[in-house]
Amino acid sequence: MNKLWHVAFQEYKRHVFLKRFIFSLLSLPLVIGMMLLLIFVMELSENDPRPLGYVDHSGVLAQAIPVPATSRFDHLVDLVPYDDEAPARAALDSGEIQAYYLLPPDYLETNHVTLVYVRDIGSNARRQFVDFLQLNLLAGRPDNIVDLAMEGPEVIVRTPDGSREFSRSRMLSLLLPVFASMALVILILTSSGYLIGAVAEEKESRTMEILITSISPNQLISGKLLGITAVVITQALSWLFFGALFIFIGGSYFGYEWLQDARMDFSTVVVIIAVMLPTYVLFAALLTAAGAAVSAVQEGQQIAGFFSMLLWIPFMLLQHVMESPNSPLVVGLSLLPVTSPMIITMRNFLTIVPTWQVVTSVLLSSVAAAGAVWLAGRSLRAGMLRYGQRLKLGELFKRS
Amino acid sequence: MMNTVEVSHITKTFGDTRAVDDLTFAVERGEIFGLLGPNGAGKTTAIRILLDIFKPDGGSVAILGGPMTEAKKNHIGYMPEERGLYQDSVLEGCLVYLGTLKGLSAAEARKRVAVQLERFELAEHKSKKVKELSKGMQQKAQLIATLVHQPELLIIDEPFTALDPINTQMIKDLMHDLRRDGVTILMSTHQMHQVEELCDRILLIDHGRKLLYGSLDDIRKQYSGHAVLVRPEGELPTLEGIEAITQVNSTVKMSLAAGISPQEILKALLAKKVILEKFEIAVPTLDEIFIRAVAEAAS
Repeated sequence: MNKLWHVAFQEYKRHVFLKRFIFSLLSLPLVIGMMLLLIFVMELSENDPRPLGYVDHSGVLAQAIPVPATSRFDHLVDLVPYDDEAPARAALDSGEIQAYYLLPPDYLETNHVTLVYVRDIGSNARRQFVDFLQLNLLAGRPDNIVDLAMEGPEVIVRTPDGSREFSRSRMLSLLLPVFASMALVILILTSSGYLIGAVAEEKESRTMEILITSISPNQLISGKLLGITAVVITQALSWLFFGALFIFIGGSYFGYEWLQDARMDFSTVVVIIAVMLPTYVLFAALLTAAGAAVSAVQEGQQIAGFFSMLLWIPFMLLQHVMESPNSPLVVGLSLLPVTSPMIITMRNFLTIVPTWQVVTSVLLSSVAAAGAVWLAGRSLRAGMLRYGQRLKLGELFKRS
Repeated sequence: MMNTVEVSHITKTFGDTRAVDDLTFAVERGEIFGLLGPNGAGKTTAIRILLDIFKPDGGSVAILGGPMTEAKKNHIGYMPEERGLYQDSVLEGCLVYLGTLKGLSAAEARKRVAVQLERFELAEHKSKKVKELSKGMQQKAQLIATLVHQPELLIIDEPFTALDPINTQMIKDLMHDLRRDGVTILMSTHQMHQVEELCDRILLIDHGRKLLYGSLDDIRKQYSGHAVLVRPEGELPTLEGIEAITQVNSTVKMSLAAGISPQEILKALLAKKVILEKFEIAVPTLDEIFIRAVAEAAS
């Protein structure tokens, strides 16, 4: 096995088999789990399991068709018919039912319904009765008409050339690339500690001289970058897995419509990977170079803070990007290696990003990433034997 | 026979300081070579240039038959003055990792590390973290890391620093064993008595410049004064051709006049029926040579 892979594997093991990493890995699913639990508890608290009564003088509900449950978490309540308002009122007063609806004889003309309650009814019961009424009003119509009327119209907004479209059900699919760019920022920020400290351990433990007489500085730095990238990918994949699990559970079990039918086009995935990978390598190499040049990890963290500020520029310009996604400034930022992934994914949500801009951005980012890896190698070579002494910028370009 | 290391006119400057100044020397195959000098003489810089850690400002280095390459790094063992192992790593894992960086497969490295751990009596500590080991144990572990890939050339910077007598002896024995196995050893030190015991040839440098270079015997001869050391039984008679007599502990150092040989003095002593417990040509210690050479260079 090439020495570079040994370094990469060692670096990977060094981080992944730590409790700290396991905690950070589980932090996202824990947060998602807590969110799901919170939503579930909030829904439960809003729901009232007691039956709901109704008094129908209009005859619309004479041969009532019940609302079928669409998910196991619909919390359907029993709908109890009353011939007259008096027994319904008695049941309400005794607490047998949470409320009752009153449909007057002229309901079909006036569309007026009265809800009588002591305390406001649960949202589940309100939603259920509206669906129940709608379903029975549509009784006798063909099933497809019933389904269309019940679900409402699906408006699809399409660009004139037909290359992009937007609809309520595809909202998540369109937002996923934006989430991916935010995930990149979070991954860079979380891995910055690893990157800054990539060679700090060797410097602190004085193993640098032994390593450097076994492997070239470029191989060492590349191996370390590879190992840390693998750590980040492990983290990203685990987050992706838990995210997909969240979408699946939310869409299939909880029946949240906005979580259903979430998908990304293959071309979008390719664009995201193409613009994000070189940018990640660029940041990773710059952070590693900074870590190799400084005398203490703490000093490196200040530099990491500066780099993270660069990452947030696109988010600070969010309003401008949304208002003018094709302005010269935004197009310029799309090409700039540091900001391109975030800007391109945001613009992808709002407009059509020309292919030449994506290709130019990827090329520029790749060149910058290669340069940063070279710089990291130089920084390691020049700074590897400096214990407690900071490297000056000019020294990076001197013969060591 | 090709030399293992050939250094030709190397110089290296850091800022205003010339750390190595036109240094030329060779290390022959299979010998123990001592690179000597006072603190700050440029020994470590010279070693780092040999190992391609630093690029020289001028001059050239040939190591194992040519310029340093990545492949050659697998044939060199280096123990720097600043000893270091991954403190938070488990001993065995740390050594196996360092072995793989010297070109061994993980399986081979594990096998060899196991053998060396037994040899250095560290096998029972293999699952401990490095930081949990004593200094002596860490020193042994450092040696394993340096030797695990069976190098052709071993470079040790200050091998005896902060070692107790047991570990000092262990390293000396090891160096003898390695020389017997044909390993070339370059050691840098300022502990002269260790050099006298171990080295075949030496290079003495100061302020980055060469002061003395050659075999120990030749250098001693070069610095030997025109004197003999004598320990007689009883009183020493007056002899012709003696310029000065100095008492050194129980021995008398007799400085000879020009044109008088030690053999003539021995003959004269025996003629006067002096019983001799000791008679030898006075040879300066390496410590004395070191001090004289450095002082001469300074003046």
